[in-house]
Amino acid sequence: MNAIEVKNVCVRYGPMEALCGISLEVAEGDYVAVIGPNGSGKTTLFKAILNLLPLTEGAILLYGTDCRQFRDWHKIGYVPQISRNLHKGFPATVKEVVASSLLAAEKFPRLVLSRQTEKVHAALTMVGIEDLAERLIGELSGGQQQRVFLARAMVNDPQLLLLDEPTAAVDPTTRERFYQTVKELNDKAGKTVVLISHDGSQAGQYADKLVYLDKHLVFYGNFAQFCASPEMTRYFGPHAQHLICGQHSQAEENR
Amino acid sequence: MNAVFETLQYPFIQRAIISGVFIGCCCAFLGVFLVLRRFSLIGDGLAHVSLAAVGLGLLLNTQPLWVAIPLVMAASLWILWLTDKADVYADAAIGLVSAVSVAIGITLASIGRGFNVDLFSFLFGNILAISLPEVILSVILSVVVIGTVILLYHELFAIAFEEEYARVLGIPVERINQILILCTALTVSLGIRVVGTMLISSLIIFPAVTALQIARGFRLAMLLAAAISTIAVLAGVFLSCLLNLPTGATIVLVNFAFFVPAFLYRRLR
Repeated sequence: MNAIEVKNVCVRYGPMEALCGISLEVAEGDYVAVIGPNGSGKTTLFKAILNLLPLTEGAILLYGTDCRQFRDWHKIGYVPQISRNLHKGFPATVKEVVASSLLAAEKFPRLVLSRQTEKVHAALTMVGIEDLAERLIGELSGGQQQRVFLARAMVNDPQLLLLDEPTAAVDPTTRERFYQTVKELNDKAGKTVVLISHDGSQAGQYADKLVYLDKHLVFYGNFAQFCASPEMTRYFGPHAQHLICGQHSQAEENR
Repeated sequence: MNAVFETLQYPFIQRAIISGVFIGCCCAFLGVFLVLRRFSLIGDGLAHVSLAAVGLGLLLNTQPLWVAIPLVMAASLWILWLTDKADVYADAAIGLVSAVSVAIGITLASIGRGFNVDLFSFLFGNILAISLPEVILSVILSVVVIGTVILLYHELFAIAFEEEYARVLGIPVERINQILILCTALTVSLGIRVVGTMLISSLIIFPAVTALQIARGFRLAMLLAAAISTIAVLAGVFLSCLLNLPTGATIVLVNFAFFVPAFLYRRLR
């Protein structure tokens, strides 16, 4: 079964076209990286998948259900783009932030969350930050916050992970560790992963498939095909090929 | 201490304390969410609406609170609509509704010259003059507001932390926002008898901001805000009686006295 089916989707902000003519399928267990320049519609695509934006045309299916009728939000773990100062001064502990995601699996009145501390603990342990449980979210570094948001996305044991530039605010070491954690979730736990990244080479090291967006779907296929494609040369230039695709070949050899 | 116990024996003091504590707790609970969502000045805006509504109530010779509650609730939904649907910035929407309301209040006060003295008591509050039916109404509506906040605690927390993410969790954000704003309208309508329209927003803002300086956890922040508000109301009522000061203003000054050390603690920590 496909986790996501995007069928000829267009999204406009007023008169401005943000995305158009997008059709793609993400099968269960896939690891797909979405890349493209600024303003190419990557985040818009995510928001459309999550029913946060109305579609101008087309339809999106999540596990076979139209995203407008979809109710099983606990099946989806979402890590949004964050800005550094968003949660500064917010008095919530890491444990409270992660627990808030349990709402997706509960029906109103949702008073049972406090009894689910073991799920929160398991999610924090999974991303290696169980020792931060009682810390305030605003006191953490960018990298630690990203792990909290990954734990929040994982707390319902979702089948699909949507990660929107999850390593934008973190140092290279933390970034590498984060990507490895996500890859393990894909390999060992069979989670479907769709990841937005600005870093094509990094994404290529871990993802099986690649989506290149520039308001339209420029390319969708595996990384090796992308490296050999004319789109690669057109968008990155002839000399960038070895920088992006070289790392992917190295990663493939290491596997 | 004896003076405190003596004061407690007066029925009007008992009524003031009961209604003040209940309304203070409502303000504190709602205040935490409103402050974190940078929407705290809605208390001020709605207080101005309540002044116009009270003016209308006095002009129609009815119980002002009965007019104030539905009108303030309607105005709160109007502010929310302007912010969410008409793309007006939240502070501008509050200012707009507030200004129109003050203008209506002044016009009504000018038309019905005889009730200016009564209007004055709503402007600056008169908790010591609160009647038994008003106490009963305050307690019932406060229980409704506090019960709603407890019931929707997790949803309100998720929305305050990250509204967009709350939508991804399947939370009906618009509906919860409407409920929050209606609870605020109800609390403001009741609160103008305690501290008056001029100071009601301080009852919403101060306990919340003070708690946010020191609390290490969201639930703790809520409880701390309620505790600060309760102590401020009790201390304000007693101090104002003992020192012959205006009660509403004294409650606010006690709140300020809590805020200063909490603020310094956070800066020096």
